[in-house]
Amino acid sequence: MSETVWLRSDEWVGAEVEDSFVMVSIETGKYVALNKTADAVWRALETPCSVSKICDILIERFEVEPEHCARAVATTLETMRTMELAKPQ
Amino acid sequence: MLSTSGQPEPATLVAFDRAVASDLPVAGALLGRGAVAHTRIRLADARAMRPGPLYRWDAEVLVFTAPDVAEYRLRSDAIQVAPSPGADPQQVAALLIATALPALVWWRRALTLHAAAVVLPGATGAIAIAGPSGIGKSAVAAQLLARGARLVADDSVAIDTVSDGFVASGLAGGYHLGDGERRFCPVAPDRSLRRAPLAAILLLARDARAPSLTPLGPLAAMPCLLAAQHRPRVPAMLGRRAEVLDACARLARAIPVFAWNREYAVPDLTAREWDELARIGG
Repeated sequence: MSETVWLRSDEWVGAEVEDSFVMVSIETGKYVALNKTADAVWRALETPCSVSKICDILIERFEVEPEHCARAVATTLETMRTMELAKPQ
Repeated sequence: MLSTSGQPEPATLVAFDRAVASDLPVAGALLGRGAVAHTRIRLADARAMRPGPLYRWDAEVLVFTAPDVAEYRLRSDAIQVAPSPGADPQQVAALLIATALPALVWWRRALTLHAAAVVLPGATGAIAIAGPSGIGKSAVAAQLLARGARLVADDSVAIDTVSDGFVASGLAGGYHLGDGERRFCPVAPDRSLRRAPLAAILLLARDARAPSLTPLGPLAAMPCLLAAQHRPRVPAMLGRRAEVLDACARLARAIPVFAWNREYAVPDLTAREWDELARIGG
């Protein structure tokens, strides 16, 4: 698996609401509610983290197949990059 | 009354549950007899304004500039108003209550919603009716007042966190009606409330969907509450976006929030709407 390391943007702040994690961009005020996968990826990125490490965390937490997890993580990270929530180092 | 300096003493008023001494009229503020003012609104000499952004910082002063109207210089406990030469005094006063005072509410760390708020007859808690300009917040409040409700706020509601919940306050002395030229409709003192516990928030919309009053769970309420902020540029300038998110999250978890869709063609509240409001706000 890729060893690209990803890190969070400092520009977002979050809060727990019900079982979800919602976030607002400090810069733009844009709002987003994270789904379960995105929430788990965001939490994994508490410290800069490689893609393989993120997958290991999610596999342990959700008991999913590695291939399925890798696809979901890749999609989520790309969405986060587009939204400027996270970026590759 | 003149002060010892020979200058007229500013009127002491109550706005957003705070005593304010003001050189300018503040439509909707309550009389603050005997109150010690913690906020001062001063009228400065007219001066020409330089072009620039609507909001900017000048050292520790937040400056809001309304072209051809006035410059409002804000500190946490003061507003200095410098009109533009030839500016309409009514416009100067209107923006004081529409923008400068809500900005001070943000500064004291209260959440500020673009909303009216009333307490229905027999109730103790306020229902806030939020929505964009022109949606009919004040018109709804006026109908509720005609049926015995008491006014807490007209266009902007301050929501302060207290130990056992949230408190709503605003300019409770009257409301503004009308689309073009808005007229001020004062409310008798016994029909005004300086502050009231917040009981519910109704997010008003008027579109082609069937009329409805639908409870929103906290997650669904969140983006709506964030969108209902009044003058959201101000908390951004104050570096308070994180606090606002947190405040909205606490509010969404603790206070019932409803999406209220009304028909454009039906300005008067229906019997069903009355019953539902009484159930929510009673």
